[in-house]
Amino acid sequence: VARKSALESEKSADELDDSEAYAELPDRVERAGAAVDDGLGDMSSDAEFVGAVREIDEGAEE
Amino acid sequence: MNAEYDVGDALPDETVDSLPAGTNVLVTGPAMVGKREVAFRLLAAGHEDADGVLCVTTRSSGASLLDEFERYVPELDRDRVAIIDCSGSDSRQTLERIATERVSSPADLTGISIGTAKLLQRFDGKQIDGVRHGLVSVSTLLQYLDRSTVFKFLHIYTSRIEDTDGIGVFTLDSAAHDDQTVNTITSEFDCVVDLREAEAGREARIRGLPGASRSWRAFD
Repeated sequence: VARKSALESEKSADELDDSEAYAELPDRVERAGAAVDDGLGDMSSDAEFVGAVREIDEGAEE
Repeated sequence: MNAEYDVGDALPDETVDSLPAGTNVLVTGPAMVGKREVAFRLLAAGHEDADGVLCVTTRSSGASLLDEFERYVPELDRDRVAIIDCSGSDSRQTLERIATERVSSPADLTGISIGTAKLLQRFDGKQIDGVRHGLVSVSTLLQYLDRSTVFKFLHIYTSRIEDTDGIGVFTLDSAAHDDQTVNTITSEFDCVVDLREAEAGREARIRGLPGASRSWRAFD
């Protein structure tokens, strides 16, 4: 299932072409997701899943 | 494990009758347009097929969520419903025969993840293979936490749903947040169901689902 395809907007094609911020959004989001993935490592167990969320939680508190 | 999850008539496209395992759906639109209704219909659609439902409620109590969910399931099997209640509602209230994990606040993401892991293990012990995850609502998380933190959490949470072959259904009030926040959160989902009120009534469209029409259409 393609996540990028969810990045369609109500704006017209012309409006989108003129919007640099929108044009950059997919790349920015991809980079943000990749950065989270890099920090995660293997998340194949419940413990790793909880540990990954805990790291975010602790980061949010700092 | 389910390969596909039946969605019945929960989506505004009669050509879509199931979602692949691992799909995460965001139901979005302004307030009072029926996002929760669509989310609950998606969660309830598999109850006859023996799917489990694990739902995180951030604002309304677990009891309130259960009442609402029961409207869409004529004969609820309480063994296949689990709730993570972050609402801070009366913790002494116990939901009859419903596995419930209480979390102190929607901002306690670790608590939500621990509750999710516990309840998934419980389903596993009952040989419930197909699990539909709900989280209502992402907007509440954004009231407690910054966008970056919510994005990271959703990235991990949806990845876990994907890895365990479940499906996820989340809601977001699109009018309550700025465009950048809405677009950032939206991008994390495989499929987005947009709802809006038009002159002739409610309309919906689906984005991101191969084969589904992307056009706005009437949706009762």
